Amino acid sequence: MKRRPQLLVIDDGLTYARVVAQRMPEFELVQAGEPADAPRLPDGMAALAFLEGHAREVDVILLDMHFDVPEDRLLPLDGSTSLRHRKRFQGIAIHRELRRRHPELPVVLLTAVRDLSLVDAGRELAAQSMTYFLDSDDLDALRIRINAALQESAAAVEESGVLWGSNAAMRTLRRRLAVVSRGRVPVILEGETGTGKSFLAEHFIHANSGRRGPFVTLDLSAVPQDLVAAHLFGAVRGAYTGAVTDRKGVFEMADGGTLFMDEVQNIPLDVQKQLLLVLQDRRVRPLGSTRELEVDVKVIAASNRPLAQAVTEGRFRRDLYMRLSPATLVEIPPLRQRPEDLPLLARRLATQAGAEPGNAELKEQVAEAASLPAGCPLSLAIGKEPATTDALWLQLPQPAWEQLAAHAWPGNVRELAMVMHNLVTFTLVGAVDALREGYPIRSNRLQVDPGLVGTLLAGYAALPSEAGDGAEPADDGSYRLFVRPAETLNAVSNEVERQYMTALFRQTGGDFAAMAEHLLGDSDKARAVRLRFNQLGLKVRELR
Amino acid sequence: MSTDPKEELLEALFDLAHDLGKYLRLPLAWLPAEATEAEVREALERALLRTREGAARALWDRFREETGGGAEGLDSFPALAAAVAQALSWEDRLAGPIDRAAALHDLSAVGDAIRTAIEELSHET
Repeated sequence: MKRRPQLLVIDDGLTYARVVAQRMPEFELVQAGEPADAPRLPDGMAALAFLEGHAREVDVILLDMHFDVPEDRLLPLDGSTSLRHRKRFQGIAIHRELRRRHPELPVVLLTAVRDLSLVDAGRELAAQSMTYFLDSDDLDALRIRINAALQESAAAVEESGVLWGSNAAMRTLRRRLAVVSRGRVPVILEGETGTGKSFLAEHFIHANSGRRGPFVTLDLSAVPQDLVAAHLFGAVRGAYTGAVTDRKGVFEMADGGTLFMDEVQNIPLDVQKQLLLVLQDRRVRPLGSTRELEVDVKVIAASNRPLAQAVTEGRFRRDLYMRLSPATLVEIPPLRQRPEDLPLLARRLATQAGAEPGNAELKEQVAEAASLPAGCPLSLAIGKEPATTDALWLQLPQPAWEQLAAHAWPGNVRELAMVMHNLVTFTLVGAVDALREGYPIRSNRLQVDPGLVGTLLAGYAALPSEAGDGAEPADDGSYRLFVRPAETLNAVSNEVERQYMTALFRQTGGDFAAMAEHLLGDSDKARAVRLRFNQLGLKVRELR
Repeated sequence: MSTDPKEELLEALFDLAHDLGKYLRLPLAWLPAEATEAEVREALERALLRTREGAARALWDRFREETGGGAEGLDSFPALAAAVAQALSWEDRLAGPIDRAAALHDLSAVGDAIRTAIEELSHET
């Protein structure tokens, strides 16, 4: 029998639990709390305690807003001046804690968004991922919200082989990519190294483009400048020194399909002009040839730096940028900006790592010793999460998880994949070695060495993130800075200052008077700012 | 505890929205489309006579008493009082045939009227 979606109701009253139990047979209430025929947990404390060990059993949470419970059962709520207020908006406090501890769990708030419009938290909640409001108190509205939450949750996990996660920016990205993928419209993909640009280009954009031709990649950071034109457009024998045979260009190779140009900002300016003509005319002429070929290619141009900035700096042609269509520009957020996705990604990447050659053989040896069936999956349990009996579990201690969560991930998902791969390998190797030394494996849970995560991350600690040389301002004008531990406080503060100064430099277009106005409230102090800029080791020519 | 009468009134209106506005509406709103007449009658009875905090009429009276007529100074009060009176008038019709849509409309209107009063007072405070 197919498992029905499991709903956990957090409500001081019985109304919602009863309505689900009596009127919605397609869902099942999680057996938590009372009464037995319509179980629900009556307050946030009970709910958080229950979820500590049972989060995986829950598909969607239904959360009431007003909790008329004793004061000692209320979670604290910032800015609450009265007990009445804390009770009235207790759902907000519970929701915050749920988001912090279980970001992947969808929550349907049993209140209308308009009923929170008078408190700031209403806006905060409305912007949250995996959070839904019940804007109408009727069965269909509740059913629709629960199903939307279930679908979003399922889609959030994986679609077209892409791990989207639950981050709001990633959800927007998915919707946007679904639109720009269609047909031949060019797409600009921007995102730091390791955010998965090439994977998205092939497995989502090309896959959903409806184009039957091949997917061809050209990494322009790996092509010598004087050979870029030949790689792009092709060349006939003798067209340049070393051209001993005819060479097909990537446009010709991708005819009828998709061409992914990675690190497109590396194309020399003179070649950019030729590329523009190819995009306009859909005809390409190989170097040294007199014949032109008609090509039908969807172009995806990727860059790990904002192309618009390269245009401003004169390193990228404005007309080419416009032809590539900034209207279809899609930004992939770095991993550090989607911390809610970390548990999901870590689990999925650990499972994938367990199935990879090398690790898979080790896993089978351990699984056999633990009396698990051949081919069982490897799963990651974080903290005290319980393990099921159908998988080999790597039990990651909570402090180790917190180390992972605190890491800035300068190499983004690629770095996380490497760390998870190594974590799986090291743990399996340790288990196999123990077996060889005669130590039996009595359970299907392997404890990850508490110090392993620190060791694995140490190699990345010195690597600056691509945003580390200049934070981006948020909508509210604040800056988000990413600073790793350093040997001295002075080094930490210098790094903060360096990032802030870089961000301001970019924001003001390198106007030191404007920076001085911003920093010191006095544009006449540009000289002092410039001096400090230099002291921090920043270089104008590198930032322009 | 706030001593500002407007703040006190606002707090009382918020409570009224939850205790009366919400629970007047819910029993009928949750009924499936195919509910029998007996189920509709039972839901209406529950809405009017057995909210979480007691009978709807008693809740309204308690609100008037606690706020000491403070709400009457609001421009939106006459509409609120009329909405409550209209909703409570269904008490007299419990024994007869019930127009479910009309009852739901009248009971829902109370929550809307309370919200309007909250908004008016919020702009003042």
